[in-house]
Amino acid sequence: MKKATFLAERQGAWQRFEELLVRAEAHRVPRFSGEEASEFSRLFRALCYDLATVRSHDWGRGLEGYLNDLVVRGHNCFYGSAPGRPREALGFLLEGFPRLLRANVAYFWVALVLFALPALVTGWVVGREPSLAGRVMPGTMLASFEEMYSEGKRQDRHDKERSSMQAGAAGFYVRNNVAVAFRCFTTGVFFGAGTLFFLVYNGIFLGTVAGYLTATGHYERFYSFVVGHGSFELTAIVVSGAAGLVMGHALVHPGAMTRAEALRRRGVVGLKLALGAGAMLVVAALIEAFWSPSGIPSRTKYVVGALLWALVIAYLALGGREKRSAAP
Amino acid sequence: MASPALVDAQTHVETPENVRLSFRLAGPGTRLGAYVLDLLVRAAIVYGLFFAVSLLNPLLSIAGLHWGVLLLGLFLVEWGYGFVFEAFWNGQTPGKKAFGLRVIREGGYSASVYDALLRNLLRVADALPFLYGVGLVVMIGTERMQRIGDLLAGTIVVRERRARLHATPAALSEVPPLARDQLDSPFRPSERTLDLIETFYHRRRELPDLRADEIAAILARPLAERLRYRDPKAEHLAHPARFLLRVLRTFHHPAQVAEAGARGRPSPRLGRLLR
Repeated sequence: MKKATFLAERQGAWQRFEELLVRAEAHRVPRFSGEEASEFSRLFRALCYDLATVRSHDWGRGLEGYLNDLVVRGHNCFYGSAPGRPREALGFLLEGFPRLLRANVAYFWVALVLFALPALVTGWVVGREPSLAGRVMPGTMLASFEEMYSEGKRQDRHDKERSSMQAGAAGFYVRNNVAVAFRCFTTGVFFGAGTLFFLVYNGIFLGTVAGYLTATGHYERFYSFVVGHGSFELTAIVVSGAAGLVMGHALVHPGAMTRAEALRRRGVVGLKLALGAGAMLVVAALIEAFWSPSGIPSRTKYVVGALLWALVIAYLALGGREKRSAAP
Repeated sequence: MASPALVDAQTHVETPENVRLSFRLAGPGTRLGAYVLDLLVRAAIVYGLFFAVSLLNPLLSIAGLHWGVLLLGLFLVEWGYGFVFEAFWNGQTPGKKAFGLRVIREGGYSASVYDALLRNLLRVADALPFLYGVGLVVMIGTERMQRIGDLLAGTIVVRERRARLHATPAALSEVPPLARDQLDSPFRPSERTLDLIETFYHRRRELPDLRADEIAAILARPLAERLRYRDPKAEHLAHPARFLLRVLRTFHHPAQVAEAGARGRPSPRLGRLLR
């Protein structure tokens, strides 16, 4: 087989393939008729064979480069990944996510301890000795917290102002909290160190605020404010911590795989958990912006808060459970 | 048969069709450039968002909706820009497209939605301690120039190439082939060499004449030696580029030479060569 004859014979097929390729690359999912798809597949296989032929005969880098790039484009197109469907996303949130969490529940408990323990300890310590709060955050921040949650005529006016900015507040909370959750998850790639830091730090912060406000007597408004969205938000933080720990653990104990392979496999699990946590935080942000600051009496807020907690627990514990089929 | 390994940012993949494909990897330089361009595009989008919200302000001020929309928009641009483009636009963001880069999976397959999401979320880890320090270090350290996000998602960033199949140079029919009595040896240059000469000719337009002759001389001298080319005028030393073209004419397939001739006069630049 001589190069010139080869070129003469095959050039037509390559041009036809390129035509189809240009059409295919124009859309995410190529729009071919059945016959065109078969033709594409046939031409692609022949093209791969041609590339191998040129290489084995060593007919020059120009021709080889041309065929290589054509095959690369064809390969990319031919083996494209399936496009995602929005309905799958909803199914994931309602069923897949709780199921995945239950499958990795050990990480959840560890993250919970890492978050709750510092929170409780700090809360108790600061509750006894409020001045210690100054060690964790600057006095100005403490003062602003106090102002936010104390009673009084000035606060009612403040409330009125805030209630007119609810949608704005929702946007703020989404932006802030989801970022924290994602950061908590992604820093897990540093062998879990980042996640550890985030969980403990947020726990201490929360405990300080709670303890300080309790000690200075402003706990009524604070707890009634927090109990509503806390169910979603706190749980979501723990879940994102669990996601980070999944990645960190894959790096620390890769088992029988290489670290890279273990990270890749568990990384997707961590990602899905983090996405679920993100969705929960969006819900929490909406509650935090619209429900929590409203002037509804505290008693009602506590009741609704308890219901929301029950809802979150039921969702995570029971969501996506396989229905047991009736025995024949 | 294989040439010695060169330092080259190439990676190879074996496909299910049992063919080896080569990809050119994108280095930190081009990726940084694409990133900066993306930053500008994002800034433009955010500016546009501000502008749009301020225009619609009278409509949207209920319950601070304009703030909500703005902050939500900022959030989406911050976290979603890279993801949305890489997932739904064939692995390219506007910045990457401008630089001819593309995100694909290590096996050469196109990146899926999860891959795009993972690698973009992990920018947080790569951007530490500042200006993508960790990302750059990891990129330089890995074999395929992947940052942490790429390692996790199993993706690589490649430079796209659109090679064209060049037709035989039209100048070929204009030069006389080497006379048989000027060649003393039965040596015949390999197809690879002939292809190399052809490639040289297609790039020749970009080179000044002197430089082209300089480069051509690298091949012309050893070729003349192998061919035992006897010429009192020593053309291979005086006009090496033209000599190479004559070699090509001599050993090329007659059908191709005829085809080249049929395509008409060569460009004036090349015409100077033939004098």
